[in-house]
Amino acid sequence: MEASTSRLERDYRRVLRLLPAGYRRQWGDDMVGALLDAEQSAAAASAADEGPERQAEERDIALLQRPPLREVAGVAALAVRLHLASPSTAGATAAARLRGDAVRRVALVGLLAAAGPALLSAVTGLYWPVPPELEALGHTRVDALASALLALVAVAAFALFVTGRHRTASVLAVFAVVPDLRHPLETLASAWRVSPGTLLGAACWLLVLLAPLVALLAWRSDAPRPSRRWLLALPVVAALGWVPWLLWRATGALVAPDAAGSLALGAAACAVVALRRSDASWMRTAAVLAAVGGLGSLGQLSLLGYPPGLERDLGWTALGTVLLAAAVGVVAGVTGRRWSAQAAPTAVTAPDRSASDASA
Amino acid sequence: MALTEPAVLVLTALVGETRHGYALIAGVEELSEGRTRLSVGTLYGLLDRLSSEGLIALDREERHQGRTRRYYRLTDDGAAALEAEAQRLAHLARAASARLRTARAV
Repeated sequence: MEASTSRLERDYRRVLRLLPAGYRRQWGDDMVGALLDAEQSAAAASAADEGPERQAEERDIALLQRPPLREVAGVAALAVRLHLASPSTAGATAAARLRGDAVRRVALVGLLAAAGPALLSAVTGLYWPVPPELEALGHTRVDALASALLALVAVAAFALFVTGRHRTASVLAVFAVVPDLRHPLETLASAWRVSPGTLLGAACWLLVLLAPLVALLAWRSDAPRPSRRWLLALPVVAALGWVPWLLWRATGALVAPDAAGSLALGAAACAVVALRRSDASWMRTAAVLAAVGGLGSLGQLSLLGYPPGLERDLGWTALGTVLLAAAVGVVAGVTGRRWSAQAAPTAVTAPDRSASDASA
Repeated sequence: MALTEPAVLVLTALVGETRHGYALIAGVEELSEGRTRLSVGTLYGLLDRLSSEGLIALDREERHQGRTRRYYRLTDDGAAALEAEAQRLAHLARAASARLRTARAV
C-alpha cells in the first residue's frame, strides 16, 4: 500500500478484509479503484456548477470520508455469498461451498426444531380443551387459539422453506421468533439488577433463538432447493414431542428438552447421517448445532442446585443436552478433520474471468 | 432464465466498448437515468456471475494510479443473451401498451 493512502482507501481496505483472502488478493485493488473513482466523481458532480477548482476540492474532500454505508453493506453481502457459497456461486472456493451447505442445513434443522413442537402445540391447542389448571390462571379458549395460530407461523415457515420459497419463509421465521426475543432482551437490558446466572440464561436463550435465523443468510436465490423429504421429518419431530409426556407419566421425572435440547438432538441426528454417508458437510452441520445447543443449555445448569422437583429435572435435562452436544463435538472434531483433509479443496478463489469467453 | 435488471444494465453498458469497474457503475447509472447505482461489492458479485456464465470476459489490465484496473468486454454469448432479453422486454412492452390502448378505447 502506498504511503499516501487516503482515509477512504484505508477504511475501505479494512472492509475488504471481510472477503476471502484469495478473492481479496485478486480483486481488491480493482474494487478499491472503483470505489475511489465512484466517490470522487460523485463529489465532483455535486459541485458541477461551481467550477473546476471547487470540483477538485470536492474530489480531495471525498478521500477524507469514510466508505458509505451502502458500500460497506455491498461488500458484506459479497462476503457472505463467498464465505457461505452455493454450489453455483462463481468465485467461491470448494471449502466455502461445503461451509455454505453446512450452514444452510443448520437453518433448516433449526426451523424444523422449532416447527415440530409448534405443530404439536398447535394441534393440541386447537383440538384439546384448556386444562382446568390453566383455566384457573385465566387462560381462555381464545388464548389457546391465538397461541396455536402463532405456533403455525413456525410450521408455515418450515414448509415454505422446504418448498423453495425461502424469502417468505425467512420473514415468517423472524416473525415467529420475535415474541420469544422479548424476555431475554428485557433481561439483558436490565443487566444491572439481575444475577449473573440469569444474565447467562438470557444470553444462552438469545443464542439459541438467533443462531438459526443468522444461518438463514446462507440461503439465497442461487442456493439449491432443499429435498422435499425434509417435510416428512416434520410430523416425526412433532410426534417425538409426546415422548417427554410419556416418560413423565411412566417415571414421574420430566425430561423435556427445550429449544437448545432440540438443536442438540438435531446435531446428533446430523452426526449419524454424516457417519453413515462419510459426509463432512453433514458433520459440520452437526458441529455447529452441537455448539449452539450445548452453549445454549449452559444457563440452565444452575437449576441442578434446586431442591428435587421440576426445576432440578430441567437442570438434569440441560446437563444431558450439554453432554450430548459435547459428544457430538468430539465425534465431529475427530472425523470432520479427516474427511475435510480427504476432500481437500483444490479449486481456488475467483474464476479466471478471461477464460470464460467461449468466443475468444 | 431471464436476466436481472442490473445484469441487463451491465451487459448494455459493455455493448461496443470495454469498461473497467467504475466506468461500469457510471454506465449503469447513466443508462438507468439514476435509478440504479450499483455498490462496488454488488458490481463485483455480478461480474463474477456474468463471467462464470460466459456472458462477459476480462479484456485487459492496465495500471492506473498505482493500482490494477481491469477492463471487461461483452462476449458473443453475452451479446446473444442481451439480444434475447431485449426482445423479451420489447415484447412485454408491446403487450402492455396494446392492452392499455384497448382498455382506454372501451
